[in-house]
Amino acid sequence: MTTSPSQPAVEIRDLHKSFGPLEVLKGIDFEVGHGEVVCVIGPSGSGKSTLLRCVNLLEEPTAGRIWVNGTEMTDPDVEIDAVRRGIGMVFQSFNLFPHLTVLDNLTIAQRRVLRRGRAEAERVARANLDRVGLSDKAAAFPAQLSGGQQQRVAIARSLSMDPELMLFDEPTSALDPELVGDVLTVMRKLAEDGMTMMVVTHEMAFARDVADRVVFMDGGVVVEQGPPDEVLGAPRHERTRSFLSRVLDPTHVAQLGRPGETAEPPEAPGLPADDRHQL
Amino acid sequence: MKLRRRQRERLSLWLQYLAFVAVIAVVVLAADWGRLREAFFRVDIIESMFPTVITVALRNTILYTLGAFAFGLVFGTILALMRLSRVAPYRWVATAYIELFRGLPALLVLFLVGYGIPIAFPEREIPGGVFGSIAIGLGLTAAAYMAETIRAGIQAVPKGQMEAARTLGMSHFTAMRTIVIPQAFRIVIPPLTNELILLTKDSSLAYVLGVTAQTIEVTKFGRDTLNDRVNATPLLVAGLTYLVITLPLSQVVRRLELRYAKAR
Amino acid sequence: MTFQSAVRRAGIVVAIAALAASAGCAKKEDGETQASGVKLVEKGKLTVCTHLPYAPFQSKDASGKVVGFDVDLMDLVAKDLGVEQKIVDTPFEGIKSGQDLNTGKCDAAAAGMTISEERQKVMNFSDPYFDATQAMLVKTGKAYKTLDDLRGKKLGVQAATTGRDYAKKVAEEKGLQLVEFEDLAAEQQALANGQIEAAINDLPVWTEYIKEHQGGFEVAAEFDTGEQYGFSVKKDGNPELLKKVNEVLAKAKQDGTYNTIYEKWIGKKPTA
Repeated sequence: MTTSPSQPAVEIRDLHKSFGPLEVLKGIDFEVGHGEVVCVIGPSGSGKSTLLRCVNLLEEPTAGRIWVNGTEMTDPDVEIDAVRRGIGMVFQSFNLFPHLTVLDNLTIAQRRVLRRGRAEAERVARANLDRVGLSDKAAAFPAQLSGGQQQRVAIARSLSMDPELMLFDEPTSALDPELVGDVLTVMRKLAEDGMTMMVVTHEMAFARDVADRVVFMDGGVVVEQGPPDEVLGAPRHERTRSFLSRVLDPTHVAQLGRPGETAEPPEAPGLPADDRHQL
Repeated sequence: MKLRRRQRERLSLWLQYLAFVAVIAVVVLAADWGRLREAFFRVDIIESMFPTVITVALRNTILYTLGAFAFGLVFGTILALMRLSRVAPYRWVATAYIELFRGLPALLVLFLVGYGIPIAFPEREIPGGVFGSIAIGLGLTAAAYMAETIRAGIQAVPKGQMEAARTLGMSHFTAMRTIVIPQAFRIVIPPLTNELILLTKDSSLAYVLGVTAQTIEVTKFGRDTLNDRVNATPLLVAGLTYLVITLPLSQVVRRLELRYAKAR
Repeated sequence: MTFQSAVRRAGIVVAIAALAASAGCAKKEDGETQASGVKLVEKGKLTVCTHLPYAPFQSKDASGKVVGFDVDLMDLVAKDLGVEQKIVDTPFEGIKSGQDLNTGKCDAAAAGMTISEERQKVMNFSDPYFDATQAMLVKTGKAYKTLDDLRGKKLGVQAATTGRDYAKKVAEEKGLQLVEFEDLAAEQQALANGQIEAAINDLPVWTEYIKEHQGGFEVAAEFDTGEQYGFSVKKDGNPELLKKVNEVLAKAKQDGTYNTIYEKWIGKKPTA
């Protein structure tokens, strides 16, 4: 990976976020280098999605500072629309525009925001559709596509804006299992092309194979982070081990989930042998 | 005597049919059809009403309705956006307006516009004359109803749509205009068509502003003809003329609602 | 559910339906018959249909009581019958199409109504009690003297009135643009607002209006249409009442009561 950390792609310092009395993020320090692929994992409610949504200011941080590509997002005077152009985001629920065709989904922001001409916007759109393997769906409406196809269109839509950073918020969680692979393949290709990516995911195989770094979050803090082999293969923290064993071996949930009771010595959980989404 | 379940159900159903037909028959047979025909169905009067009832009266009814609808739609959309605005005074004003005008009879509003504005601004005229007064007078009330419908439509668009648009770098305004509002309008087409039907009938209130032979609409035309001919037939003709507009519109609403239900 | 309960349930439906049907079709009562042989729709009341406001014939006074020329005359009839007058304010259409009388809403109509051939087909009129003269009202200082001066201008009329019928007859010939108003108040307001240039209605109506708005308006022209007002009762439905009305009118004209009432409401003495 080409990482030149004179100025990281994303830099987060002492980030706090509360929803009313509920503190979701309790002081996060965090960086993503240029071209780096970071996977954020953790139990639901750990704050990982909130962290991601703070990066492009979909959620307003309660305290702390965030820089993206050298621009401070938390500066009250930041030209937020301009900065967001450089940050692509892919949602769990796709959020395609249902009243527009696939092609228009990809061109509308190019034309309205980047002021590209129709021909130029369509050229970029078709190139990106090709990139996600859906060039034949340009004229379709989102409702006519499968979930996996919709998510790939959503990725192509973000890519059409030529982002320097891509945020993925559990991109495969809403998909039927057999459709997950196509989306992960696209993401993997993107990573290989050198895109800076921050991915909140439950796909451990993807994290292991594609991520440069894995971040484990729990209870609003970063518990541990490091290369996938270390975090996933030999976690140092009990909370990480417990989470991984629950994710990777769901039948153990009942036993491990009981509070105040230590389950069998949590060996470093091996990755499942027959991973469906072998990447 | 014991009957099996299906027999009982069939029997009950038949008895209900029978009762229903009996009631209709009693009403139909008891009515004095000769007198009814004399009062409501004089063919010579019906003939005398054509073609004016279509070329002038129906035309004006449609014009007034569309004028009021267009005014109400534009103003109602603005009110809806004000209701959802981050600027608190906008919300207060819009809410107050909506509550006020939903609580006032359309007739009074029309009267206030038609007679109040000339009193308030003696040197000015409402653009479009009677047409303008009706469009504004009925549109002001319609806008209050439409605003609530449109607001609900906007809120029915999933939050993710706005988020997706904003993450693509669109401003709030652009996202509203190109992403949220077009979707909201699809949702509110059936209720807005209902509003159009209501307005079609409300356009009959035009009479309070004073009508000329050129600006007469269907109801007033019927009532006028009634006065000239001392017979109620024109009211029947007027009623049927409204159905020419409202029945197809109701059908459209039903279709749209069905399609919307399917699309979900 | 047993057979019996099925029958019982259906029976209830039939019974309700029959009840509704019979209630809807119940024969209307013919009303009370007074000692004098006059039938009235409501006991002890002479119910009279009119359309407000139509000063000086009928309008509400400051206390909300309906008063006027017609009201006083009908009071004479009511007094003669030994009953009270009850006034119902209802749209012109119902009065002038005869429906209000036919359906038993009122015993009589007293609404400054002109006796016409068409109307005589649907109701019975009393002897004429007033010679109607139409007049054109304009704002003081306007140069309109006749209908000819109004060519291409807006002339206000009131729906379902003699004045409207008269104006409509000559509208085409004189190039008038008629604006029809639902009631007198709207017509007056439109004239005051300048939405119309002139307004036609019964002369006494304008006389009354000018009295209340000193200096603002004037009668520019009068039109003798040769029409007369009459009270009316249900067509072939109440000859006793009609006879009584005519008797009372005749007696009032003889003993001077009519003149007193005329002077009270209309102002100048009837020329006869």
